[in-house]
Amino acid sequence: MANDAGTPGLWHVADEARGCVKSWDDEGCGVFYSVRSGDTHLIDALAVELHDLLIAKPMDESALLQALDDVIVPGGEAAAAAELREHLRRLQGFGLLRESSV
Amino acid sequence: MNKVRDLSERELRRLLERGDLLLHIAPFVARIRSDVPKAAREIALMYGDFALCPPGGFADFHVEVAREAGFRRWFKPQARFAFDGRRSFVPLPAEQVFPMLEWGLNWCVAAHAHQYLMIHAAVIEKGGRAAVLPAPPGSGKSTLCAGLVNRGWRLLSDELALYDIATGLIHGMARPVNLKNASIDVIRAFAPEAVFTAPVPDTSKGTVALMRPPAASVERAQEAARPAWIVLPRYVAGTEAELTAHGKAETFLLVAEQSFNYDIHGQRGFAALGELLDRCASYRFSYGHLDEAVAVFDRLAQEPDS
Repeated sequence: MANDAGTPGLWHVADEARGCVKSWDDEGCGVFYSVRSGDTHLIDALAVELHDLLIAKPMDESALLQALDDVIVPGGEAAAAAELREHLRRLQGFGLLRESSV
Repeated sequence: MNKVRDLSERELRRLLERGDLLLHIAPFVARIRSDVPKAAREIALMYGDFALCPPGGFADFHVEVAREAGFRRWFKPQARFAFDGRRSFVPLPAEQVFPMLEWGLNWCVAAHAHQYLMIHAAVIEKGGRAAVLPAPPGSGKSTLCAGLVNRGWRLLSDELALYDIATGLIHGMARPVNLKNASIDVIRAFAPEAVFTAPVPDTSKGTVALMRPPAASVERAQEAARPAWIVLPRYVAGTEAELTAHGKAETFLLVAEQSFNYDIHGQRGFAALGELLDRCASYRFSYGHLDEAVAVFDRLAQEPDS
């Protein structure tokens, strides 16, 4: 996915979100504390997975899609990419993730 | 250390009138002043097993329940709660003086004891492990708590779980259990030996009676407990008791909602609540009969640590 500057964006866990996600191994969803708003959100399994991937290292969307390929139905790549993008934007809105230029 | 029960009613009234009654509601000390005779009688009845601190000693909270002055003193008398010399809340009929003192003490703790993460929850303990029962009013939390502490569980609190963020232990005060409406007769029938204040009708919460905490719980009131279970209770008339595992993320949000100061602690509160969930198995629990509820909790207490 290209960002506003036309280059592929790199996704990170926002600095302010470090230490603000909690999940448990035996269940999919988790919780996220937004330092910005003071609110705590229930986050789904994909959000937890994205957080865990991006806390290890920043990735662009294609790398994220590859990392998540075991949950993507064959033939569904385009739909998965669109869904991933929407998810990333939503988590960016919450203050959990941020996007930077490569 | 003297106990409240060591005082004659006259001595107790004199200490209350002078504001020299320092009640040890571990981990706190409350200095109580009152000129309402009923307050003295009910403090003697409910707090008989509690220790007294020396009148000149330190107190965390300075509270007063005093008769309102003026003509009303003789006509439908009222009493008012004061904290640190400042009158707080609206005056209530003098008949409600003891529930008012209890609600006022709860408010003192909930509004000031931010060294703890405070959760609106009952806490009971058996075998060194505590069950935390967070729930909104009307869910049957206090009834369940009263039932369990009359069947061998230790009472820490029916209302306020004080989670020590540094140690991971939970404190309670082992104070009287606040029962409302139909729950009063339910517990009277379930535990005929339990001691209650006279029910006070027409309070903002309906009819209210306080149950005296078991002496064995008061004896151990300074002993914090290790949390092992978070159980979200709900009374459903006529149903069989049912304990079901509940997701920790969802439990987290429910407990945060029932916390008095989660927001105040910010990210530290988030981390603390996460650690509390790490330490506990979490369940939903519905019940319609106390005997069945006690059996379920006793089975839980027999299970090995998860």
